[in-house]
Amino acid sequence: VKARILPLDSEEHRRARELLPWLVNGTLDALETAEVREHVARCMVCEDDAAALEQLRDTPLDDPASEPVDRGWAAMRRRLDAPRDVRRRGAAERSWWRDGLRVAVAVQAAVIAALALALFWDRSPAEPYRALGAVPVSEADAIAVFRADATQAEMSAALRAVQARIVGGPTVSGAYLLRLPDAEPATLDRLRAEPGVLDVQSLRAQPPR
Amino acid sequence: VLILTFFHDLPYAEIAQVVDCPVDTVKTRVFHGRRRLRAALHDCLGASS
Repeated sequence: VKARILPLDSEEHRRARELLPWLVNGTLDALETAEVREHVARCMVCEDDAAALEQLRDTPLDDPASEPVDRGWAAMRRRLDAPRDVRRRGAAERSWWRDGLRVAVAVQAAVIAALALALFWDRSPAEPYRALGAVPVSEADAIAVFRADATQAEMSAALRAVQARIVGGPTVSGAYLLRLPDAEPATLDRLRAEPGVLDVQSLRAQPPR
Repeated sequence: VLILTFFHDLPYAEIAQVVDCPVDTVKTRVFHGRRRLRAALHDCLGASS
């Protein structure tokens, strides 16, 4: 007979030793049963172990000596049942939390949608296209051209004389758009008479003569 | 786990479900429980004999 040496720290021994209790209570599947039985047949340590476990298993539960075990089992059943209630309570709390979260998200979404709608509806009607630096003609009453040799002081004096304000320009031809308190011909004539001014033209429609 | 194994004949997978822990933990607990039980019984038998 060929003997096979099985080291006690082998994986096979460790696994068989772990599964022995369930070999004894007969709940291992067919593959595990065959595997463990085969090992026990060759391993004296496991064989003794299995015998001790069978002895333990055969101890009657209704023996007066096993009364503490029954009490322990009853206590354990109570403990086993208790976590289920706790789990149920926990699940109920989580459910409440999830519902609350859902409501909060829904409210946030509604507020965001309302703000977005308000943003779009609050927009004023589309304004006409206006280029950068462009001045609406309606703001300018007259157009003035200063002399090429006019000084800044002369230009300021001319503007102050009629309380004019430059609202645009210079244009490509060097003219400035002016805003005047009144665009009467007399005012324009006074501006024309200023030393730095070359020409002034009204931008307002002339009344029919 | 010892009681469930030896007096209620439950398979280890079912014990793992009952006590809510991994199967390997059940095996380890049974192993250590057996060792402690053996030591306790040995003391008990040794004292009575």
